[in-house]
Amino acid sequence: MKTLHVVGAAVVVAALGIYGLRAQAQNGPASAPARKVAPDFTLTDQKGNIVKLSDFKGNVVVLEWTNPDCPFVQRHYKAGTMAVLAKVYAARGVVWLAINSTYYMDRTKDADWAEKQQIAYPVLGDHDGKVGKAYGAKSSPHMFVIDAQGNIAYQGAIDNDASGEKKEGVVNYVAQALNAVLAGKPVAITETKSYGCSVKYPPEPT
Amino acid sequence: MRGRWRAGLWLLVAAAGFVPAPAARAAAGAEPVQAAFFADASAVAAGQPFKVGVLFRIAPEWHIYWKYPGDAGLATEVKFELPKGFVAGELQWPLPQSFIQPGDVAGYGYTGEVMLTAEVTPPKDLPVGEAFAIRAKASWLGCRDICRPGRAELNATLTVAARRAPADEALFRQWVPRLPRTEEAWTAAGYLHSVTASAGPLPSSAGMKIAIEIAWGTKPAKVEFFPAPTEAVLTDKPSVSTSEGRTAIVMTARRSGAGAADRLECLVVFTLPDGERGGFPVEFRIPAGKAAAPPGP
Repeated sequence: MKTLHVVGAAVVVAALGIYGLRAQAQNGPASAPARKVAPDFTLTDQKGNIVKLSDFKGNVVVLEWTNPDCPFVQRHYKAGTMAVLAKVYAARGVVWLAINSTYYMDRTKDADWAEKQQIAYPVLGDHDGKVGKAYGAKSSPHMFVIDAQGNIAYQGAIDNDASGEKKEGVVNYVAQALNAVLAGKPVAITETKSYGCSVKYPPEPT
Repeated sequence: MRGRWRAGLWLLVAAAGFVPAPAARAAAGAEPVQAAFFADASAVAAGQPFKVGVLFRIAPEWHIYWKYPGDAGLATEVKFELPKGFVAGELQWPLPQSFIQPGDVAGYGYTGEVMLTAEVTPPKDLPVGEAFAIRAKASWLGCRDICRPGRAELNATLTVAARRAPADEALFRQWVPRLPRTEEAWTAAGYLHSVTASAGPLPSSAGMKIAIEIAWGTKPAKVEFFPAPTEAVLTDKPSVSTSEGRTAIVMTARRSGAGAADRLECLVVFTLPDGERGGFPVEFRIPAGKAAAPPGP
């Protein structure tokens, strides 16, 4: 957690600058639709660190629903989609958190996978699915961008290339949303349908 | 089905040699989903339509997805590559099933077997005796606890004759009753009395509320509703309530900002007490602004 706090401190400064911009940009009456507040959570990462979303208030946060067994997740990790975005935007103060709600996995699995993929950000275990359900996470990957005020600025797919076969015209919705949020501009596309494997929530008694 | 399946494999192997037979058999044991190509004619006549189809055989407990997969998953894809001058019609999707997975994650798709078909019209000037190749490119996501993507490139060679030589017609016939029909067809057959669809803006947001009221001629045991939005439209979980021979369906939908299409195609599927299923499409327009839109034609 130490490293994260250091990053967090750096971000507060950056975020203050953004507040200023935002205040100038939104001078008129509140015409934008009310944003959904991101539900707070406390989860444990692959190293056993306790991670609380509200600790990052003032930071832009990305939540990535993940599942090491899912071919869509595997494709994006092979392509480095998440690692590159996380790294690029970490430099601009964005906190990246992966959440694994797969019911049949545990912290050992999260740690193995993080090590194998050399994941630099926390992989949070939500193996009872409570946080996933609070967010309405449907698939892996399912992405959420949370602005510095703790509101959901974007939710849905990572990009517009579900089958991973587009040769051109790939739009990364998360990068688009992050660019807008960091620039204090309104996010053009605030919601898309996520694609991927269904989140493997615990079987329900019928 | 088994014999027919083998015949289909044989057709593809013999016709194009894309997959050597032993490899095809070996794969049959390992892959949860297999695809085989069929045509309803071994020889076609100039200008006379024929059908092509990809039959998916899905292992027990596994499923593949409909053209709209639901909350998760990936639509099955079949693309036919045809010689110049041949025109393929729209891909025909049999009525899907719905799987509600833990955590209220809706999935729409198929178990067991499904065949996706299309009608092909050859050009009017085709030399008799000539052979031509058709390729089907299929891709799918098979899911159980885990998901496994699959793909196949299937080929068949057909010939041109003065008269069409039928093949596998029974197989194609078997899938026709599982396709959606129009509302008018069901009304004429006495299954439906009336269908009223409306769409209006939601007061609190940019979304639309769509509503469908159905009066049944034959009381169904179960009614399901399958939205099939493009990436431009987002839909919420529909509510479907049926009693006394009437069904009310309500769903909210809104534009995502991605993509430009504003049509929202939906499918109503009913199951009669004897297990017979039928379905018909209902279409809406979801405009970008807040204005209400009447249901599409």
